[in-house]
Amino acid sequence: MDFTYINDLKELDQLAADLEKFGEAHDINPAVVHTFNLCLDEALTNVISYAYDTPAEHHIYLSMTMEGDEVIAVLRDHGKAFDPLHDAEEPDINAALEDRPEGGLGIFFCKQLMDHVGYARVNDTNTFTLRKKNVPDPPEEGQ
Amino acid sequence: MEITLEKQDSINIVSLQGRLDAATSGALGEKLTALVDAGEAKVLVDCRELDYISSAGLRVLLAAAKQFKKLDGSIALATLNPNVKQVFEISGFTSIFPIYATREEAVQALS
Repeated sequence: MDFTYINDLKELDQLAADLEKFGEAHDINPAVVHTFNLCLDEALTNVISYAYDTPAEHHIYLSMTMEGDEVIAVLRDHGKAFDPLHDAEEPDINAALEDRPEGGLGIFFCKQLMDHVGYARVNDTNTFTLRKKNVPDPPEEGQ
Repeated sequence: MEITLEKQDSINIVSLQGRLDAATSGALGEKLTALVDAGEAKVLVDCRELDYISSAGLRVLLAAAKQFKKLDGSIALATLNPNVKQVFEISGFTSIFPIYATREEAVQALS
């Protein structure tokens, strides 16, 4: 399934709705759908917030596919080159309250929760790829 | 996202409903800063109807926690759903915020 967003944070609601739809169509565990929602929210928020110098409308493209039991998300934008895997700082998640920096968690979530995270800059396009195996939904209690 | 404020004795209860992300976290930040500015030192964030949180939501809560600490105050959280709790756990926020299973336990701890 392919989805297109503009550079407006209100699109995060649409992203959540789109991933619900994709999850239902492919019978994906809701916990896995949530993981993709969280990681793509973080990536899309970064693109919307930092990739563009001009306030004009820009398009950001998401492609969601299944390869066997693996869920694959590819997010593409034509904004400034930004490699989140190398350009983002690692947060210290054990720091005390006063020392906790107020950022850097988004890409950390992706690295922690996904099976694979990839970035490539091809021509004028940032391509951010997330992969994670779908796991069967545990049966509900009492069944 | 809906944000509801109420006061129970000296405790300000902030109830969140919906999704706390980069689009909605600013509104919560403003409400929490207003409580700090009013010198309110005890805040309970009730997450029973909070469906979702991203790092933007965590950032606002972290900034508020730093402000409340300067006031010698405290901020606690209650009733996190499993998705929200997972986000707190992987970011290490469970060691920054006191988190309670029920609103009653949180109120008791803040009293």
